[in-house]
Amino acid sequence: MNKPAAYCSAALLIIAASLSGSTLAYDSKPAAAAAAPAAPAAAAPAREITKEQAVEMALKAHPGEVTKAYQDSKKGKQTWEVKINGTDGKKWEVHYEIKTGALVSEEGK
Amino acid sequence: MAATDADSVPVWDPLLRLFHWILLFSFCLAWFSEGEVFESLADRFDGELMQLLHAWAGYAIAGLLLWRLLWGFVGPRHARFADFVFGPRAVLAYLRDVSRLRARRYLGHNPAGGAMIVAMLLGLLAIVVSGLVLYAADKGLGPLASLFVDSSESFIDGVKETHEIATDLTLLLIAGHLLGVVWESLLHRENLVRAMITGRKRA
Repeated sequence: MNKPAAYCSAALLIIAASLSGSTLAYDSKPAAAAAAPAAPAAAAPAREITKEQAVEMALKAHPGEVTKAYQDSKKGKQTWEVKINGTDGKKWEVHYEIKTGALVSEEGK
Repeated sequence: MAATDADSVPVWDPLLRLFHWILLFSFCLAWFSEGEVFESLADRFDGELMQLLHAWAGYAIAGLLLWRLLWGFVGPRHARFADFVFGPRAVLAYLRDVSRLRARRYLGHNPAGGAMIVAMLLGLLAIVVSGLVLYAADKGLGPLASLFVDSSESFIDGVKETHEIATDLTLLLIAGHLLGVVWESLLHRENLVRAMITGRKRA
């Protein structure tokens, strides 16, 4: 390989790397569209919840064994995701919004 | 017997080799962090970390694909698409020869190997694009977030399915690629894995 080509490609690699770096900045902030204030659900407590509370709520809805609980995003909302191997034989994935404690999604399969 | 400098020639340029092994590493990382086969193992690690690794691996693969596309036009001889993209007839003829154990030896990619490279690159492209859309539609994250954040559940399910099918197909292609490497290595009595490390092959 000739030298100019090597330099040229090295430069391109760096550009590609920095581009992918800039896209990563998106990951930490939810999309603006979803950040619009949602009407507070009547049943849900409109205050911040801890991971432990989220696990407790999820287990109440879907009894079983918690395999994982961690901070995640759903539709641009910061959520606690709780994964449960349910006693009903289903694998549940439940999301509660951290800020409000509202149920964002639950999926069992 | 190992090829010495005297009777071997450079075939794969250093950046291409780097591309190959970083791509393999990134793919394994992405597969491990979210792949269903490794679920129970990956569950022992922090869930946030696994998702972060998965997204980073995906971005890395996206960057690598862009670079490979470019390198296919401006890279050294054996890295160029023009060197290893043959018509379907040539590919079939080569496969027929291979099955009869008398295929001609190519210094760069042979017609079947070249077709496999193109297929794998397309498979990876499908994985990366569906992954980016899924990341945006399901979680509202990534560069496409604002475009897909209002997606319906059925759309999200469809994209998830696409991401998984594209991955399974690409895994099949990778299996075929490995089979081809072993077959060709035996047929022409040379170590093609080492050639992708040292870049050199018997002249």
